[in-house]
Amino acid sequence: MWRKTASKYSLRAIHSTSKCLTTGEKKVWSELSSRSSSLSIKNAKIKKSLFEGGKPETIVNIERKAAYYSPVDIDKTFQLAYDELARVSGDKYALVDELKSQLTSETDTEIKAQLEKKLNKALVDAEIYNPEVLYNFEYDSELIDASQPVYRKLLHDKWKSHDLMVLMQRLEQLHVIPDTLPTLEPKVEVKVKFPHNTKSEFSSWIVPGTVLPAFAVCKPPTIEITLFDETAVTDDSNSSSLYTVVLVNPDEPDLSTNSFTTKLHYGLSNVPLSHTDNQIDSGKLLTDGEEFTFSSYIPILPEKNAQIQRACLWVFRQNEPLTIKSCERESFNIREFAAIHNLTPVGAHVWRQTFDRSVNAIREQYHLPRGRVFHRVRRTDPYMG
Amino acid sequence: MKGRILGRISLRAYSTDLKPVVSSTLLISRTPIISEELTAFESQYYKYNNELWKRLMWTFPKWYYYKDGTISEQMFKELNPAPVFNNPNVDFPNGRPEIRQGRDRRFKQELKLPKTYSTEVERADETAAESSDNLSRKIVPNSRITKADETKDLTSLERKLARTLYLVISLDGNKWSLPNFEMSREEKVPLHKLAETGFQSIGGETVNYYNVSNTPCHLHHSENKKEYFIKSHILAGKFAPVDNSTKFMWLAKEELQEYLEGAYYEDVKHLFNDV
Amino acid sequence: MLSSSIKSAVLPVLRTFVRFKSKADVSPSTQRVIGQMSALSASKKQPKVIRLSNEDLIKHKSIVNAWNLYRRRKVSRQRDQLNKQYQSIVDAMEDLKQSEPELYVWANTKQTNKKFPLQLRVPTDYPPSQPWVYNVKK
Repeated sequence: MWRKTASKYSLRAIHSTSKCLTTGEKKVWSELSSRSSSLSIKNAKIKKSLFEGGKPETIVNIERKAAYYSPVDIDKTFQLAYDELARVSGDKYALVDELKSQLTSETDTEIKAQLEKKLNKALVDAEIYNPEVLYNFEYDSELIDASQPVYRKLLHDKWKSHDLMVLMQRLEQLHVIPDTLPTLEPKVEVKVKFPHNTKSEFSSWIVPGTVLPAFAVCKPPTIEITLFDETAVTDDSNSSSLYTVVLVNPDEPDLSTNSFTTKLHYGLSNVPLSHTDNQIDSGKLLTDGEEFTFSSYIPILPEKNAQIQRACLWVFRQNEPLTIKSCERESFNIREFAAIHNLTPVGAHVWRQTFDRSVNAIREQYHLPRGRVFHRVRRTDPYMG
Repeated sequence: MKGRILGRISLRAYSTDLKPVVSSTLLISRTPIISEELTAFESQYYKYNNELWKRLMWTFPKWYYYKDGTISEQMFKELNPAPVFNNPNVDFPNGRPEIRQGRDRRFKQELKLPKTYSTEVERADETAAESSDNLSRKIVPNSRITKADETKDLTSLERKLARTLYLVISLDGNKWSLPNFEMSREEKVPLHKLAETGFQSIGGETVNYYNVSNTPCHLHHSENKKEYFIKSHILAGKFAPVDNSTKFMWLAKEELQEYLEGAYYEDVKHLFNDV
Repeated sequence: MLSSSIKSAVLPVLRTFVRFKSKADVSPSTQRVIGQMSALSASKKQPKVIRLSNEDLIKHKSIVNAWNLYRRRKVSRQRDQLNKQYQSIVDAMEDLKQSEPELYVWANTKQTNKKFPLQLRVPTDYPPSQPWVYNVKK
């Protein structure tokens, strides 16, 4: 099966490509004129080893590759399984065509929305078992194209299986819910990173709840908001695709009441997002930053001996375009803010900060006064409270 | 009672103003004798899983079944030579063997057991009468395809052993139908009794059958006639028509489609087994 | 003197048993128990863990996916057929109740002394030498 000599190998390659062309015509998944190229494997060698067997191309080390043995009969079984899956997919594509023709003739918006939902499901069902799609999703993250319903479905499932659970645990255990907003029904995935850092520890995506030093957060973060629900897909002209992002710190010490207040650290509004264009990064802020920003970024800089502070990032979906001129940072009431502007919370993220050696330097950088230093004060009578 | 039940389509025409004629149709089937035929995908999937299972199987504890130094151990050794051992001085381009307990752990263990029969006898004559009594003879399974399949004998009960067969009869050799028996208007009998006695009157005397239930399993309306279906299985014996002009066949579901009337088949096709 | 006697008493107990070694020292019955226990134990008898390459993992997943779809289709087809058969029985009995009450009662009585026939064969992979029994005892 596996030839070592180059001449034999090339002969085999020519033979197999011709075979591939003849058998490929009748199959749904090898047809690429009406389907996106992201639904097939880009690397021709890997594609060949997937469909024709032989030693796997994904093992790069020559010795390990030679020592690898596939399970007996896997290729033959895979061929039959592929035919079976492609046949089912063919039925689904027939349904897709039917739904598309119905959509063009339909005028009622409600029925149209239902049809679109059905069409989306049929598109997912037609591709969800495609081995090439599965391969790309698992091993070739560059090819994950969020404009394809099948990749969105896979991303959604993956998010729900782990990251969503971690996020909700952190939000509840750190009491972000209900200290900032009463609850959250998560609809989008919010990922945050600070790309100005050079250490990978701080430059990669932040796990919710991590304690970060002040130098790591001294510049505005890159926020990636992955949309999953299909109703949110609209172009820039439609207001329902606009989002508001707010970063608050609910642990700002308030000495007058011997309690804490919420402070606003970052505010963006009217940010248009879609399935493919889903990042708020420095490039986007450079061009449209002034338009979006109603409250510029100031990092959370805890003062000495103040307690550990939570940075709560909330993402809201807007119902209409907003005109927020500026906002009072101190004593920011996020619940009132959401109610006034008719905002729906769809996602959140949280990280924590505490005083460290870099705080004072960053205070100077942002022209802030020197921070206070808190001391423990012993109560006169501990039993009296 | 038997005399009043008509084993064939009645010649006497009933006046149409009366209630429709009640009749009982016997759905007598021969259940499969051998297991279902697998599709290409099914058999390939089972084969693949079987290989995985063998690959993950523990090593055969040879020392437990073959005591050291015995003749049987020697025979076993001859049949199962030890795999190539992991010589550190030799280069293995296709991966180093991992030998544990005389097995290469990377692959499934293939065992050959000493034969209980000698090959000469096997070659000499397999059909010898004494060989069937010999317990250590080579086991050769019977063919799944029988003589009736080869000669395409549609009346045989030995055809299509893997399928459920249904009895169809024809009185004129032209129009085929399931055996149907009409109820007399004077004396009423239970539907399953009607089917049973009717079946015996046309040639079911030599059949051992099992009526599944006294409850009819289907109702087919036709012009001034109601056909209630009674399910039954043939267990042994042979259907031998009393009247020589009566033709009969044992057919599987797809074949029934050819012989039964189109609309009738569409109405009753869900009663027939796909297997 | 004393210590050596203790040693000789304790040593056979402390000895670790190894298959094929120190054969002469243990009694045949002990050796048999060791053999039986080693046949049951997993020691060294387990195969290497299957580590699949990326391609083979995808292939295996696809095979399992195809099998699940295939089974689901087959089972749902059988279920549909059974539902239809059940509906047929209900329809037939409803009709019988309306048109022929007497026959309905007969069709609805429970057959108490009826026994499942032992002659009904369970399908096997290969047929018996005589696939069908023709002589019926009356």
